[in-house]
Amino acid sequence: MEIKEKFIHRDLSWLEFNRRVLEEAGDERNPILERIKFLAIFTSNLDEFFMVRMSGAKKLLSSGYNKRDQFGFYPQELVAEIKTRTDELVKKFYGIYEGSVRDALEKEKIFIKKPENLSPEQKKYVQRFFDTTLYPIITPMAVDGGHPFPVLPSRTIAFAANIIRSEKNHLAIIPIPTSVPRLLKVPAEGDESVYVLTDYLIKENLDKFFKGYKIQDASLFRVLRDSELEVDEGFAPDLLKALEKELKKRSSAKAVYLQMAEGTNPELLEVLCNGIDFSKEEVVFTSSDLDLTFLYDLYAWTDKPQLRYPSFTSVKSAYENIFDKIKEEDFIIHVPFQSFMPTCELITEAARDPDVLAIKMTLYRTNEDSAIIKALMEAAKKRKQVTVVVEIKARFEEEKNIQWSRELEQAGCHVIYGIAGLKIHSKMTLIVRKEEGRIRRYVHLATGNYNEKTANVYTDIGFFTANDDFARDIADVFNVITGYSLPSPWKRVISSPHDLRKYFFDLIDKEIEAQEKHKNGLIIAKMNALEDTQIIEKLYTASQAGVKIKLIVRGICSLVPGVDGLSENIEVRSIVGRFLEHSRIFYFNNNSNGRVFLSSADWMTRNFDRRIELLFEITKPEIKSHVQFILDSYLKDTRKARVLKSDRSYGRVKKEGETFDVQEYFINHYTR
Amino acid sequence: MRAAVIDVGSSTIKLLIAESHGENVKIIESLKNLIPLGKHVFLKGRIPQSIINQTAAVLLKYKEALKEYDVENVMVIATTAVREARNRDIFLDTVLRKTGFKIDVLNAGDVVYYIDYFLSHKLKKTYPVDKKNLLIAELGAGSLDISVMEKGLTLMNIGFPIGTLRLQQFMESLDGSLQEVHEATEEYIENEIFLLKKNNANLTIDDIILIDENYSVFIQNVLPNKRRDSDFFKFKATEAQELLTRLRQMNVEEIANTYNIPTDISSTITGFAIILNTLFKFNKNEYVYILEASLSEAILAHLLFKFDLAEDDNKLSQLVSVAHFLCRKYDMDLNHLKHVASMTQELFKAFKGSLGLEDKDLLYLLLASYLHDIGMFVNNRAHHKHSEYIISSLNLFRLTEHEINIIACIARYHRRSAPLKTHLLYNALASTEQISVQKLSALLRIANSLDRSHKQKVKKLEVKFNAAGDATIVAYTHENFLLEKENFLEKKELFEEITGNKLTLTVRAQD
Repeated sequence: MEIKEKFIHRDLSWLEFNRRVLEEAGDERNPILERIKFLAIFTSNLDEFFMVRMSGAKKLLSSGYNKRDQFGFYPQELVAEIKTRTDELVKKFYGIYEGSVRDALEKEKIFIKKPENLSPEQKKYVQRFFDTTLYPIITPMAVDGGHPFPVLPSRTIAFAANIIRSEKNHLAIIPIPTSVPRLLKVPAEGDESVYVLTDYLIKENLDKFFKGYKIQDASLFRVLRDSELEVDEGFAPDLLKALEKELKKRSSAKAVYLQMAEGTNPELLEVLCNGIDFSKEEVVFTSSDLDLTFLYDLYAWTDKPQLRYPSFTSVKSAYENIFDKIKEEDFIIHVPFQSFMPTCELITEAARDPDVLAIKMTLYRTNEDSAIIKALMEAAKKRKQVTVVVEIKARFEEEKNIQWSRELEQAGCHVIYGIAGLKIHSKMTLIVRKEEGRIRRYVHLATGNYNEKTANVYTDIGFFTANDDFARDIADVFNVITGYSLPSPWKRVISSPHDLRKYFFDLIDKEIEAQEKHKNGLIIAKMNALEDTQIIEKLYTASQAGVKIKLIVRGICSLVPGVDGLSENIEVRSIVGRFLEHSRIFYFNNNSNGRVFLSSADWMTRNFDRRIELLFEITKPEIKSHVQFILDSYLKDTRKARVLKSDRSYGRVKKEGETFDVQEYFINHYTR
Repeated sequence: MRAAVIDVGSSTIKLLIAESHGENVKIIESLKNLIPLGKHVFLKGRIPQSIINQTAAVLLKYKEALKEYDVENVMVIATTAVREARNRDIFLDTVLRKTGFKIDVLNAGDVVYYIDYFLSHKLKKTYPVDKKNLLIAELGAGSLDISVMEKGLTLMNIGFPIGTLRLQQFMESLDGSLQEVHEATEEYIENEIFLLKKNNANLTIDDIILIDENYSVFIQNVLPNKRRDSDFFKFKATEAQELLTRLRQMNVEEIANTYNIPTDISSTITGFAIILNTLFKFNKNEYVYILEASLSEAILAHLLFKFDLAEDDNKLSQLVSVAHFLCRKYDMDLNHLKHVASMTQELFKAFKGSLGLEDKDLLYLLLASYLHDIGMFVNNRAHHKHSEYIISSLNLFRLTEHEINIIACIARYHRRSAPLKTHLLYNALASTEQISVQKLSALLRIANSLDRSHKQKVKKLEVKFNAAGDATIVAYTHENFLLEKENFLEKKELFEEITGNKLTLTVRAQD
């Protein structure tokens, strides 16, 4: 069988995921403000895709590399296919934005207006805003013999203007400022919400920047650049500095996407493409607004709760002291349905508690103004031993990570910047506490990051335990990461890059064996992405042996299900809804004596080979049945689940009558 | 109660932090780093500066880990590689300056001391250590330290330079086929341990125990059917042979890949298997028991369970037991020596205050009392000089080389000339130690004179003092004491010279 027939290309599968996000924007059953948020998510997703994936494919192409990748695609083929699909998606996206979404917004009296459509008072207001706020911070840049084309960082939106004086043409670049929001809320009457994009205000006032010039043409454009960092970690004695240096280079990295307003003057286009070093043929033209991420602001600023998902309060379990609670019994929290607070409290309490000697934790992505970071600094100031393993290479978070890492260091924390060549993706905390003269250790392991903000929108599971087997393993994992020790055999955790893949292979083999002997081979796995071809092959083998495999894969899925002779026993569904599905849960039937695992890892090659990830088994019966309940509930969804078909397309689960929305169900379930 | 041991070994540096849980040692943190000290020392005799710095860097990390667990009771030990390094003092000093850690360099006797005690502690409920004769082997990267325990008391200890790393180096140095290399290695080991077989000839060994912390965990990778009994791997000779047969067919990489063994272990596991097989040759025992433990664990148990409360007694009785063994080995008159030792103990008690002696001096004096005639094995003539160098080359556990030299000097001056400027060993001692040696050898001379006939005539001994500080030894006996009296007059001179007081002997019939 051809490779292409066996696998779906990861990038094309990812685009299909973004299509599902777009479907949510188009789904009129969703509240309108949530729909615009999906549009914003679609935009930022696609931007990242271009800056990382498309840039990689293009780099291969331009380097002359001409071999098939693991999914059977030549670089040229892949770039062309991505282009076709993204063009189609972007068209659809603007169709939704300009069509049903705008209609629905206007129906709710929410308007994104052009300046000319504002009332006289509103016009005055926006003009004042331009004069007092925008004008002083905008620096137009002329391009001529003495002024080379300016460096425009990725995601820059700017006007390119052709200006004339003394019959001589000049090119000028006027960037839209990033220090003020692009969206301006304009005072409006009654319950109207009126917004104006600063793009239009600036365009109306362009002549103010070029007194004595005539503005011939002005066109808005947006550029995305390659954002993949290339730090040679093996030779970088100070990863932090090397990364900072590399980040500086990002502004001048190769442009990978150039979007322009339709009707741009060809001469202007020519000059601009030359300046940016981008092929004219690849420019994407649009008649609508560029970069719809401003919709995040519109979502946040529009005070109409009835146009959002109904709010709910996540449930927090009752306890007086988090340490006593963990000591009493192991437990899990299922966020955002259950409150993330215990995780924060574990750290804040550890920082305050005089008996706590040491705190160790990994931080991959965290939020600004994080209570966890503050607690870590407080702990260090109290002379506790605080070790923070920071993954500064977390994509697009690098600059933020460098900043708070330095703050942690200044507070006295021992900050470790990962291991050369490996990203530390596992989410774990170890707290060492002295209790009645003895050491007691507390462990928190999770499928998601220590990020209080995303914990409200990402579904994840956090596991708390005072079991010393876990504590020893996690202490050892930290010792390996911090370079304190060589690894020892672990009792309760399995990790990549060493043995995670093999462990899963063994579990799958056992299901194959169970199927042969007892006809009850069953695997249920929930993850964000399934892309590793080795494990896909293994799943195919299991399917061919008769093992039933039910996969809940939110994003990329390179496995083709339901193909006779290959994967007829595999089902794949994806749930894209209100919350971002992020938990990784694995169930193996084990001859009707089910085994349940949680992990930070997806089934992706990078997770198996280039990251430090953890997998751990849940053995306590109550927690195990809780996790199984979660997994079973996901399989029941008929509202947000899409099924991947053997023709590689996704389709909604068809069901007569009422539908079952698993995320809504969890909200009600935990509140009850 | 929490304690930690840092073991600066021949190929690894390890930190163990533990707490006492009941009677068990519960390890709460273990760190391990590969630092090839032995590789350099065993080949070139020195520890390179880069390795010294790496060691210090690792120890500084360990220091952080100790803070995380609030551990203050820490012992840092080093074994063969550091002990044998020519630049040992520089190594120890650099580490002390850079890390603040003072390293205790253990000799084979020390290793045996800790291991034997740990074993007695660990097995006390499951195995009658105090009723058995055991051969206990502790295999490290640098050496194989063996002790023989007779009913709970250590009789002897000896260290062989055939640790697994050394064997690996030896094997690599041989230019032959895999089979030839293995055969040559076995011959090499047999030759090394020939001495042990000879020493051990008269004792029936009930069981052989191999203490191992590195290899046992991988035994099941090579022999999947081999099961562990609760505390031990119980090995039959045929099983040990099978283990070796499987390993000797492969090179290091094949072993690592076939049996999923880390390369630092796979490179030396064949040496382990050869040693295991060799142990069966000592005594035709049916089994060798492998106990998964480590020297660090043994020392942790020592720190946690406060063996040191009774340490002085233990150390004394253990060392006396070793001294007995040595007396038998060198065919000495043990009854005479026991008698002299018992009388020196009485004299020590009596004169401790007036001579300004310390408790630790008793140990030196007793050992010198047992060993003072050991030089007769070489020649009766000038036997005190032979005693001095025989004793100075012994490995006596928990005694430093320096302390052993003190004992050697005490034994040397039990007769003939008092110390002279030409006596090297004596002159290498500090001046306070020199005077102690003179005082203790003066006591030994007196006790020895009181059994000049080797007939143990003195049944009881008393010491009386008058107001001027002069002393009278009252010896109770009903036998002809003339020979002893004469000898006493000659041997008391050193004592009187040191103290400035008169010493007289009164003989009384036994009560």
